Amino acid sequence: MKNNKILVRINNLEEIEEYKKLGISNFLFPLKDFSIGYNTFEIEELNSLQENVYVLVNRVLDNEGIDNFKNIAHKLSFAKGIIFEDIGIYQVLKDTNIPLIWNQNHFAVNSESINIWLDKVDSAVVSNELEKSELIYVLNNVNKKVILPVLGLNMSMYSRRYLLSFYNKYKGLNDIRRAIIKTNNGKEFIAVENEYGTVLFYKNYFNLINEISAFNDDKILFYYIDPNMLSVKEIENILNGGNISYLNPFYENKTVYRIGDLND
Amino acid sequence: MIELLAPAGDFERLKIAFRYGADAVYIGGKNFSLRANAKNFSLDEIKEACEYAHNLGKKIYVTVNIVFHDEDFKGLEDYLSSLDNYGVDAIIVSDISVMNLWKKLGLKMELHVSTQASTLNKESALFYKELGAKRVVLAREASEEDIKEIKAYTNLDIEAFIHGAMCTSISGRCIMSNYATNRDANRGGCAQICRWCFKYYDENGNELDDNFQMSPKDLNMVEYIGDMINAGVNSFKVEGRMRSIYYIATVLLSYRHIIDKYLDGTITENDTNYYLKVLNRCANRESTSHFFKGLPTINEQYYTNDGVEVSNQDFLGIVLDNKDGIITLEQRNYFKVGDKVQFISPNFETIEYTINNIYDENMIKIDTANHAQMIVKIKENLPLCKDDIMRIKVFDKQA
Repeated sequence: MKNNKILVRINNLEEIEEYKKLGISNFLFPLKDFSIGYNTFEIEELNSLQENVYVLVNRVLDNEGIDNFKNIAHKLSFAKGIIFEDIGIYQVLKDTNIPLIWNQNHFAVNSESINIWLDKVDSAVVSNELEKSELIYVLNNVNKKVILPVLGLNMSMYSRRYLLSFYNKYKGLNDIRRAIIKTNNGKEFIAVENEYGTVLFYKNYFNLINEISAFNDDKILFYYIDPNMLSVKEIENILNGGNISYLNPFYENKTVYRIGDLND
Repeated sequence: MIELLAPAGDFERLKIAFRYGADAVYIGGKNFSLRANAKNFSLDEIKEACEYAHNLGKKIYVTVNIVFHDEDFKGLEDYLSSLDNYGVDAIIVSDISVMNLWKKLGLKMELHVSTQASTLNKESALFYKELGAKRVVLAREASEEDIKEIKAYTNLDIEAFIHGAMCTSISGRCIMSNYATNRDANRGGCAQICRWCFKYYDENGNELDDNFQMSPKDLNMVEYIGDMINAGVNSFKVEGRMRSIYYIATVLLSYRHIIDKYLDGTITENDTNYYLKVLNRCANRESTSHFFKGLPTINEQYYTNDGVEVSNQDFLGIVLDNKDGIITLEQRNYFKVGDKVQFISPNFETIEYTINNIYDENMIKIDTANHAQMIVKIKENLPLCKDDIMRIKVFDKQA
């Protein structure tokens, strides 16, 4: 994997120079008021950057949200691409020159749907909730180059509710906005809340970096890295072959959907 | 057009739903539908369901609302063509590839966009209209103002949930089940992980609590049906393809009365309060209106001591026959001579009755109906029909 083919999400602006030293030059910035789960950035912080700036808009928006987005859309022409979750964003931007990248979380899991979207937009983020053979099939059959997440934490749930605040209040606990929850069968999730709701990330990193040779590189626009809590140094170490504790449950095992199939 | 839309996991539920007031029923096939673990309908049964519904002047919608993996498309084209040929009135869809296929095949049945697509704003609704959708099932997070604006902007048919369980997540945006059980939530395998209890830690790993819960109360829109009609909702959707026939009958009958009374201008506060009590009694969780009048608060969360939900045994029996002064019932919960009960039916409001005799199938007098689904008879002259329901009397009849 060439580092100039990496798109990395930025936690703070100071990271940019460090990533550039690694040869990484494409950066994703969650947009303030239109993103959830991550540190966000104001347009004014981004439009003066002399970098390849990609903007993440991953909220599901109500009417007020989409109207607010319309009001700022004209300011986004600096972006190399808008990675969007809500279909309304496509509808607002489809007749502009701003490159659009479809990222409807959990929906980019088949080549047919991805290709329908690729007829409309410039690229798509393929879900990594696919088993290896499924993912290879998708990548071999998409009609344009796509973005493949290869390292990070997967968002596993997105609620409009304030799940941490509510529970803290109910139990008289400190009003924390980041927490970890754990099921009885040992699955852990990181919960992050902001004014637009709560998201849960599966606590184990996924890591497909060592699997990249299996994928059709011609179909990859970017390999996406979401560092979450990893520092640039830690990312560098992983890119250089260093170890990280990770789990790729879907890559290694197909999900099922009928209870009986669990016995197979 | 105002429509009461009911769930049905099988043919028995479908018939009950229509009998108790549904204008349309949504069902799932054996494949391509969420609720993969419900009994669901074979193609032959779907055909039969269409004939049954259309003879009543009612409609059948079929959910084709999984998010497909490539291997899942096998057979889909034939399946959609069959649904269309059988007279299915609409398919409910979340995956854009199915929408595209619907268009490519030139199918007659309507395209409805599933709530799994998380439609919450007018632009995304317009996108689906441009794809050919006749209707959107709005995300449950839609407020009254969102509904009004989406309706005004798109003039799409608007379908909104009015009763039943709520996802903690925005529907379609959750794969907790995938992680916790390897069951794919968006292909019908949701294991409802959000209803589990969790250990709760701060981000440094210090345990705060061992009973973290996040699931919401159920949805109940009894108080706001008029506001929903005025906001532009066309179809009032009840959740729960896997619910019991008692639940379906009670919920539909209540909303049927509320909608009809609202439309003919006879609804009273007394009605609303009565149906709220009936529906609260019927459910196993508390309920509230959630997002319709603004963002939910802590009061919309469903916190229990131990995650255990309460169920009641109000449903006593279902009428199989009523002839020559002998009512034949199939028992569903224990009852005995002397119990005060109510019969509910689409034909009357309620009938109150004190059981003064019970006979077994052979007309031997007994005191109790204590075996599951035993057939019993009651000698009484009451205007009951097949599929009327007997429940324990818990409230006085509506004034």
